Amino acid sequence: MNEADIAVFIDAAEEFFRVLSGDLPIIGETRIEFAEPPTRDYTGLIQVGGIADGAVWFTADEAPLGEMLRAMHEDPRDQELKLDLIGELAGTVVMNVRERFGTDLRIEVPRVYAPGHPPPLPDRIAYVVPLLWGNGGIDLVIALNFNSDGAH
Amino acid sequence: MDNFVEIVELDGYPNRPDRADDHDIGPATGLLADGKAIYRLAVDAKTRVRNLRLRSALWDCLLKVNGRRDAATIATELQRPLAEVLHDLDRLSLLGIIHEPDAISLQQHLYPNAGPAARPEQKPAMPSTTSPEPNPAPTPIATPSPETRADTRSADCHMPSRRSLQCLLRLIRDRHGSGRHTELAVYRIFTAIPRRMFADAGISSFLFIDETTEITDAELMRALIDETRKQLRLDVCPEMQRCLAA
Repeated sequence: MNEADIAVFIDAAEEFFRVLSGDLPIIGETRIEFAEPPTRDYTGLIQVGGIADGAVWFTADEAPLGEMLRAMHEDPRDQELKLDLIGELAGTVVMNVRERFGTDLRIEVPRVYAPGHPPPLPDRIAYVVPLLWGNGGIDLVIALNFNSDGAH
Repeated sequence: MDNFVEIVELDGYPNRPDRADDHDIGPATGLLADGKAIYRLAVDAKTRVRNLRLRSALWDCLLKVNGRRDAATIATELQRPLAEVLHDLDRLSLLGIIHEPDAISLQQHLYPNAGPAARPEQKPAMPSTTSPEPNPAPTPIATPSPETRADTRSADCHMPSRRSLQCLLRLIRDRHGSGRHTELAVYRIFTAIPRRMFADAGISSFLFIDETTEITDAELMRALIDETRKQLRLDVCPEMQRCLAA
């Protein structure tokens, strides 16, 4: 797995927002976290194995999820819908990544976590991509170890 | 080439036609008395600059270094972003015109307990000559393998830089360009290093926007250098090999 392979995760996330609103999200100041990776109110997490292992997740504040629901003509206050939405975001990435890698990369079904239920996070160095959407934060977090020499 | 300014010789000193008043470059200097790290001019800075064409921005930085200033002060006085000034200072360092602050040089990362005599002799990045020779290219010190020769021209043995981490980032950027792929390449290199090493070094995050994370832990720096060489498939000279094995 190499840099272009990992970019598939980010491209898939951008595509989700493009389809949702017609615009790509603004990418914030990317960073690498060596300590505890970030989580917000809602998290959609994908466990990854095979040519890389770890997890990829989206974690979002209440507010941007509400705005996304409003853009989808749904009730912006509905917590269940927010949980579904963060899962859908993660699921979109899963679909794209499966198309790209097939069985070389094992991708599990996304798991979603509501406020007050922090997800189990892998003990990995994380690459964090803040996606700026409306009034609040959404982070795409990639926390993988690479099992090959970079060739794929 | 509008952003380049011809350097001409005036009474033995490098000069720019529009800088008639401040062309004098003094002798090399050390560290300030308060311990704040500053850049130093190379002993043969005049000779090196004489035959170069420097961008005006580099020239501005060079004159400030001559005034015994640190990077932050230079950025303030030039009213330029610190990151840009650091980049220009790195260029001057690569050209062998200035020396980076001793306290954070790569060799000190690699030889934390050794005195100057124990370190490999630093070869000049450019030939020191007084003969007029326009735009001399830096002498490659690294020994690239045939398949990567074109990509390793900047992998000089000593990789002079204000910060060794920034030097590594430059190597990665040389290979991947800028943008997301470079960031992910950096991430892949970092993930090959045990997470605890960063914690032990007191490093909790690395922000790409400013790249100002300083690594003073010799073991961590060695691991990063080694992993960068491995992933970028860089062959380096025997001196660097000895550094890494130290």
